[in-house]
Amino acid sequence: MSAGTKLLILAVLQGLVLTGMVARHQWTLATGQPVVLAIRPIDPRSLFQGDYVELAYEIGRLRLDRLAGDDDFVEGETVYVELQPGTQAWQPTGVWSRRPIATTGAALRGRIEWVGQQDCEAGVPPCRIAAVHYGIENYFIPEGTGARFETLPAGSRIDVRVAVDRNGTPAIAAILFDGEPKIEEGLF
Amino acid sequence: LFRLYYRRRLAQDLSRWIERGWIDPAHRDAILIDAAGTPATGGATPFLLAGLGVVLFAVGALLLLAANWQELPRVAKFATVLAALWGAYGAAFAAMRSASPRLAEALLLLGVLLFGLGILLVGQIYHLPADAPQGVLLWASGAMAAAWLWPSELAAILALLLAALWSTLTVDQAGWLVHWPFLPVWAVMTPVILYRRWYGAGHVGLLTLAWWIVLALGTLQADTDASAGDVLRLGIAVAAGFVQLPGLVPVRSAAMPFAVTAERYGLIGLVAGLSVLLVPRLYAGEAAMTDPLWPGVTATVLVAALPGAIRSALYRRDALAAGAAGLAALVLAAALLPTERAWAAAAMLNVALVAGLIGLIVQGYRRDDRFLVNLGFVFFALTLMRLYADTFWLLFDRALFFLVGGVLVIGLGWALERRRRRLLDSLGRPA
Repeated sequence: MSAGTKLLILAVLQGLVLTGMVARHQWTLATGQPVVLAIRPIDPRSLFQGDYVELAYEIGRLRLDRLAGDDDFVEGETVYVELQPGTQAWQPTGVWSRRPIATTGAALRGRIEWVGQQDCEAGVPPCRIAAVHYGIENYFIPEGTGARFETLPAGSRIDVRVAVDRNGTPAIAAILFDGEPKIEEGLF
Repeated sequence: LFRLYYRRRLAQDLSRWIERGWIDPAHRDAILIDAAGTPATGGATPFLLAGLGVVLFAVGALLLLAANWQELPRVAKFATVLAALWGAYGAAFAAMRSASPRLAEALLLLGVLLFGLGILLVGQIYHLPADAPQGVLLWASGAMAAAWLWPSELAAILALLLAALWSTLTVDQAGWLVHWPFLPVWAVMTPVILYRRWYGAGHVGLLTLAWWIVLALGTLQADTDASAGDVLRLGIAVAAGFVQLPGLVPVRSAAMPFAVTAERYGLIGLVAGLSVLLVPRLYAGEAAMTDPLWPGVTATVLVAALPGAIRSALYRRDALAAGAAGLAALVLAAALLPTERAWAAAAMLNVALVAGLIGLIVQGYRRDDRFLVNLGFVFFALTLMRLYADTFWLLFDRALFFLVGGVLVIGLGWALERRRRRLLDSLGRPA
């Protein structure tokens, strides 16, 4: 095999990997189950990645005593959070070590960051909280426009619509301001 | 510089060997020409400039990533990423065609760097779920493909560094105790490094493996009931295992230079680990074993290292491997002593360490291996300084240790000198 052919193989392989990443994402957006998640945004800066907002999802902190499923999780473990439609955003109903088979809602895959005790309500014993990372916490935005995520009028809310594929992998589909999509994801 | 030094040294040695009648004077010039090697096809400057250019371009690409490309639509951004990637490989092909192999390899490395930046950029453009370890592994795979296909030592080095980064990130995020998947990924690069005799990549490979071991030992101590002493003893046994490698590899095989390098890293790890273990404050609380599991694991590692020690001692008359295994076994045995005998264990290990370092220096002279001699002297000096300031002992104990040790070492030197003189006498040469 000539050196030129080897280079061509390398270039095509690496190009296919990058294209595959985009194609898989678009496939999830096109075929995944749409789920609306409530968030509380802040605006940190990243030296290497331009401006982005850090999306703190409400389902990022789970009260294990109020959810069905398993509760003996350890740091770094993969979990599946079962979600059901709520009035404005979807709500967690269970958290499992393995993907639940017959779920009527959606099962979102995440990774346990930590599990600990917290005072959840006055006068009752501390409850167990699991912090879960879903990999969709960072959202890149045009430079200098992050402020609009923080300076919303009182009473406004921001939600994120994600598409969840069969494996529970989420992909951000749209940013919703007061239920209306203001930023939508797509190929172009 | 090293090559120049080697040629000067060889010229001096050849004159002496010719004088002693070991070498035919007619072969002197031929040997020197061979040692000089084939003339280089070009200077180092173009390669250096190409390398600097690669760094500048990569930094520029990184800044482009930070600028977030507001003006371009997504597909155009993605097309730019692909164009940059393929452009780099195209330029590498053109440089290769114009007989500039070094420039071509630098451009190939640029392509591999752009592939990694492309992964980051695609993740940013399309808001892909963030999974840093997976992204780094994907990048490492691209670098491995480049290293194998071209073949490129620079890409191999980058692949190994990325594999180590992947393992570090995975242990940090996913809670692995020992991240075993690193080993097969690391091993993918081994055949091409051995076959091509890439010594630079060999060093990086061993360093990344050493890093993985240190990471695993640190995680074991943090996340299990293993004490610092348990983990250090296990690390010492693993380091002693590395010292056995030259004994397990055929002398003329391509792997032998790498086995010798592994032996050196193993020696550094062994002596450094034992020196840390013998730090008084640590040793006072870590001498005795905690859970029998850890001495058991350590003993298993040592048993696995035995064949190398036996082969080296019996067939190659080299006691270094056996000495290293013996020292590690002594460390393990000292852990079995009850806590109230910690002082006895520490005394025994200090004596064994000093004796081992003297043995290392002697072995270095026997092999004519400057690295071993220098390593032995450096650690010998450091150990003496540590013992001088060691508060674990009373002043009288320390004085006794140095006095007796000094007399013994002088006696050893005298015995070795007598032996040397006898050997020279038997050869009929003046001492």
